[in-house]
Amino acid sequence: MTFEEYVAARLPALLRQATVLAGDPHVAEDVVQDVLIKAQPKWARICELDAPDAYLRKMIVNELLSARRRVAAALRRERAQWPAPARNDVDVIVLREAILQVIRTLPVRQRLVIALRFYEDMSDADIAALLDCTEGTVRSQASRALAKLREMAATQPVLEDK
Amino acid sequence: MIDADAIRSAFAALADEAPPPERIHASLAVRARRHRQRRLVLRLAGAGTVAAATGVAAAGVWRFTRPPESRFPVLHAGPGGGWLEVPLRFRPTWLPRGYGEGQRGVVVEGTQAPVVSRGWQTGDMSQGISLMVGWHSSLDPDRPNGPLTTIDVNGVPGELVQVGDQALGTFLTWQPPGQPQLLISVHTDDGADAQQHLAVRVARSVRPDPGVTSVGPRFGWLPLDLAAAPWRLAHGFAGTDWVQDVRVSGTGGRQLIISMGTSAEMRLANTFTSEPVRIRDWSGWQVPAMRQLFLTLPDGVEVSAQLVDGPGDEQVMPTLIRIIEEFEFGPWPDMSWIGGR
Repeated sequence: MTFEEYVAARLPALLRQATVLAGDPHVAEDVVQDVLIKAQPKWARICELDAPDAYLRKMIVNELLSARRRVAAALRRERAQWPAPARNDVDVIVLREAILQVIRTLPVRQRLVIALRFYEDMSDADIAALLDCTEGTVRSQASRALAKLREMAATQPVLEDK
Repeated sequence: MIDADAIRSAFAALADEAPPPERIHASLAVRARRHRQRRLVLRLAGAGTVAAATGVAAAGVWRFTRPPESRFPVLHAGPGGGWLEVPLRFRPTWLPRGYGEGQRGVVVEGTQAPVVSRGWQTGDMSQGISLMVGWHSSLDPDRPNGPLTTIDVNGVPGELVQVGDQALGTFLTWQPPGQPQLLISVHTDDGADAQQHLAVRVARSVRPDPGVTSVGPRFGWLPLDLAAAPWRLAHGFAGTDWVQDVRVSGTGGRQLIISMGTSAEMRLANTFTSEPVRIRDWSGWQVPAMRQLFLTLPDGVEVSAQLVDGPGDEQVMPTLIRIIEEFEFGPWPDMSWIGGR
């Protein structure tokens, strides 16, 4: 498969995956473009690995973890506004939006861990291999992220009381 | 209540916010077009592929005294010099406004340099004009083929060829009495007539140049298929970083590329399948799946090495490591000519 064929077939899926991992469609577009530009010159070798999706996912993760992107993500977190408690009817959409707000403002590693666990259904061992860390680190990052989600739920009494 | 299904549902909604792919498709297409143009210029000029321009901030200041369209970085790479001094011999005395020198290349065979090339380009690197002095049989596969038009170049008959497969290019070859062959190549966004006019005007302005360029790096050991082949040294820049490439193609189709410079592009882009490696006193990474090595030298210069194509056996990485172990980097090049005319 040539680079052009791969991009034609897989770019939409790469963008969806990157949006989940980045928590932001604009960052995702930026990262995917950078990753493809880096991958193109060595595409022949990447194809030989039989898992170009996995290779590019690793490149996307590394790009998101780069110092430059971490600074940008921190600035976004500082600007982010926590959602006001919803006073509408309790429904799935409201809860989902509230969860999304938390996901978008999580530190990069915490978001990556829960995105890979819940969206990609990856095991903690696979996540650890992908992020170059131990399974214990994966579990602690996931625990912190879930704690923030629970904290968000606790600050939304309207949802529960209604 | 937040459960796993609620989190999955939230991520699915987030995925639905993914941007459309059209912008990236368009961006990659523009980039590929520019890359093809540039590669053609560089291949014919006997120079290697220099990393594409990046926005990475690094040492270097922009030369704002030039017109806005011809901004080039002032680079402080090294003292220059080396084991082989190569006369530049000729240069054009007229170039379109906004062009500055961006590449130099030398073909090295033994202790001789039969070909030297220089490339001038616009500040955005999208258009280029090059002059190649001399010829070598290793360049024969890249010789432009097409209908010939005879053009007078200062009293000497020249041959003009226009090639237009992917991006139009114009090539004008002539040989003054007692001098090596000269080749002007033009890759611009102009049409055929305008490119021909440009090539002829640049060619007719070519005059002797007493300047020299130097070859600093040298191989200490190469495997048999690469040892006897001529090799190419190229100097250029990417953004505000200098780049020096050495590449040699073996008889079996294998190619060795060693890149040196300050560009972050040369650093290991990811750690997938990478392993730490130590060569001399330097720490680095090897990526056996990609047949690549990455090193950061004590002075901060980044080095990447790769064996492209050829047989893939378990000896590839030991071979690459030995090549780098015995490679003489030489003094870093003087790049003060970047942006000049």
